[in-house]
Amino acid sequence: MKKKANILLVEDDPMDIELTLNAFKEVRLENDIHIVTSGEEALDYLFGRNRYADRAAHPLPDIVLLDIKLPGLSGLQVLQKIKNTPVLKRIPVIILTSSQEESDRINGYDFGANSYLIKPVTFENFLTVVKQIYDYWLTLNIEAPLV
Amino acid sequence: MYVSLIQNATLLIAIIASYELLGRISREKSVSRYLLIGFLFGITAVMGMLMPFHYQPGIIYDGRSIILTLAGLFGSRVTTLIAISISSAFRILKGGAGVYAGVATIICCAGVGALFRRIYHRNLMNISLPMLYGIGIVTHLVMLACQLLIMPIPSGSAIVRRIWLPIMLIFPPTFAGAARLLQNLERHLKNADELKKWESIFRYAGWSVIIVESKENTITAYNPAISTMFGYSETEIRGKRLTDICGHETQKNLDQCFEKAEKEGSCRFEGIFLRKDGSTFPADVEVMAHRDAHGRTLFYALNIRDITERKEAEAQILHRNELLNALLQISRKLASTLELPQVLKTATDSALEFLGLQSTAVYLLEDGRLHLAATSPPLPKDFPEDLRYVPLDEHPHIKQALQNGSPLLLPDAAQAELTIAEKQVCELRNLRTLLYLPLLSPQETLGILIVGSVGVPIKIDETQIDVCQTLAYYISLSIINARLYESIKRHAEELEAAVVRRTAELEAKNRELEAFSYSISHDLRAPLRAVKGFAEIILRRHRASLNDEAMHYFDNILESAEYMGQLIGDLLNYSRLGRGGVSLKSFSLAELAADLAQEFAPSFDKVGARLVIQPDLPAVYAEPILLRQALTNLIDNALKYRRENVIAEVVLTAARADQWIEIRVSDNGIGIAPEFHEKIFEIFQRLHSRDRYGGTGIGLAMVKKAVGMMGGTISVESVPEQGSTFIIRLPAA
Repeated sequence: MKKKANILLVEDDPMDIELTLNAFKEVRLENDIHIVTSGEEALDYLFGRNRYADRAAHPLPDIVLLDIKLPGLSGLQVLQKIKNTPVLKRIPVIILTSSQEESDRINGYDFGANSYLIKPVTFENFLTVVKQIYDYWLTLNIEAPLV
Repeated sequence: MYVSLIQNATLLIAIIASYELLGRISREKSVSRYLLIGFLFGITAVMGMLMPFHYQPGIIYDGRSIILTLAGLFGSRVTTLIAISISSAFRILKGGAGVYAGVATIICCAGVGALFRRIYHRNLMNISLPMLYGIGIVTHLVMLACQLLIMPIPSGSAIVRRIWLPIMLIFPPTFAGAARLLQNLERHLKNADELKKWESIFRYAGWSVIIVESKENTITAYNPAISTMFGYSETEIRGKRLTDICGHETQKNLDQCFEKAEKEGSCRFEGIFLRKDGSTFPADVEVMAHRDAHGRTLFYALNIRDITERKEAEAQILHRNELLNALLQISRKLASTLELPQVLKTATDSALEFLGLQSTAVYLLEDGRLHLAATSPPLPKDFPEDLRYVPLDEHPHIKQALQNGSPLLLPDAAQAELTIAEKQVCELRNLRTLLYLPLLSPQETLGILIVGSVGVPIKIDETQIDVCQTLAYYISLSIINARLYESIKRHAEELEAAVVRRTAELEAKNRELEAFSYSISHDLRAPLRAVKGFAEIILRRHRASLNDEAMHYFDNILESAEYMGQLIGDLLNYSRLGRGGVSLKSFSLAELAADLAQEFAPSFDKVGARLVIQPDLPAVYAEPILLRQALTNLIDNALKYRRENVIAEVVLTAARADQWIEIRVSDNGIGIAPEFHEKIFEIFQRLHSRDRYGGTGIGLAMVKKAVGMMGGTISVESVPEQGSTFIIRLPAA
């Protein structure tokens, strides 16, 4: 059995947060899910700044689930920052959004997103997506050494 | 006897010569002249009778028969009667045995003459010599016949027998000779008359005529017009030679023309001639050689016409032509540009060149003020600024020209009365002769063109002013054109700026709209997802604790959320349609149809429907994604609105119709009532309740939008409860 995975969920919509958490709970996976609700907070977490200075309590995530539309810094800007930072750039970033805009998809991949997923409308599908993310990125995928 | 008769006849002829004398005294056709001639004939007959041939006492023969025949033939009735009276009286006075026969002879001969006068009537001068001889024979035969009739038979016939041969030998030829002499006399007198007429014509003719015997000889004859033309008195000219009155350069022409006239009879040339005072004039000369019967030239007649006026007119026309030609060049130059400064520069420069003047200026009227717009040569840098504006009150010449709308010539500024301002300008530019030419358009005064000479006054004639007016007209036209061009250019620039502004506005609006649809896709979906997600969670985890009613409501929530998701999706598709741009291209409709058939196969199979595709579909000229979307929606609808208990059949066909390609999607479904045939293409327009036929009311609106973007149209033909045919018409490539 794999060790408990750390997931950083960057999502401002409380409903979506709850749905995501529910989905993870439903598929009964052992995870530590860290939630941040804005781009700035996400970067604080990843860089271990301010209230996330304690790395033990807030470890670097194994994957980042990133929404695009966020208050303040957008998801794409956060993505750029992650991929331009040597210590962070190898963390898989999965964009989980409701935007099907072509420009978002193109920019997402260009800035180095590892995957681009559309938030399913039904909960059932949500479960499937979460399960597959877990199976693929946290189980199957061999991650690169971070540094 | 012969000698006496010949003597008598000769005398008669000599005396007849006096007829000529009479003719010279008077040529009038009057009774007194006829009387005089009658006397002459009578006296002549008497003279003949005084020198007779005496046959025997009382019987005498003389030339009276000839005289009286001539009197009858050539004289008038009066003349004849006088001649008869005089000679008869004399014969009676003389008396003797032959009185009766003598008088009879007189009357007979006059009668015969008068008879022939009647016969020949007006042609007396042309009776030939043999004919005259014939008349002589006739008259003397008549005379001898009279002798036979009147005199006693034995003696009469004896006399006639003795006398007839000498008489007939001598008298008829004498008659013929005397008559010919009279004819010639008459002819000669007539010729003299004719000559007098021609002399008059020669004398009073409008042109000048000189007659010389050869080129080198002095002038022998001329008419008075010559002395007027050459300025000599009538006598002075007589001693001159042609070479004296002919210009130096014309001598050669004269030589050549005389040679030609000698050969061909006449010749014509134009040359320069000299007057007595040394001045010259151009003339047109015609030389005619007059020859005698042997072809020898007797003299040359020169007809000289002064062509000064013609030459001047020609020169004037030539000058005018040159001006007009120059004008044409200028008008071309003016037409070659539409920029006002360039037009004005061309106008001032060419006006200078055109008139050979030294200074030009164009003043233009703008905002009610006349200001200096261009000059040639350019103004010096220190030209006073205040002189660039021209208050009309200070420049009365300009004002007058503008008010009259016609050119104004100021022959010499130095001699004219000028205002202080005018004087200042003239002195600064050293102007002397000035020509003011108003620049006018049909509606308004544009300004004024002023041309002037510098330093010295010059002469400007009517022709030049005339042509200058035309020049001013051309310049006016060019100014109007340049102004129009300027305003068009300005408008175009304004329009362009407006287009740029509007485009920017539209682009901003478009971005806003995009942002809006982005929001819809993201923001509306999030709460929807929550509604649906949590409802599902409740159903999954708490189904056991819910009663039937709660379950039913949860089902309603889920169903509504589902529909809302569908609505949002369709709306997004509709607004995004063709956002990537429409680029039409030719492609195979058959391939697209095959794709669609494959895509729809499960749906058709599911309800047992059939999709029939025309085997040889043509190529279409369209945007593939848009056309695919349109056909997808139509096939989708055809499948959705099928009739119960009827095997649904959807048919896709296409054909060319004029400049269109018509694509038809037909079904055997429920059909559409005619009143809805147009309404169905409006967005959110639904004809059925949602629980019967699902859908958002966006599908056909999307078809219409997609087809419209490709430059096509959509229409429907349908009979309720039988089926519908949707027709997409696209422009053929």
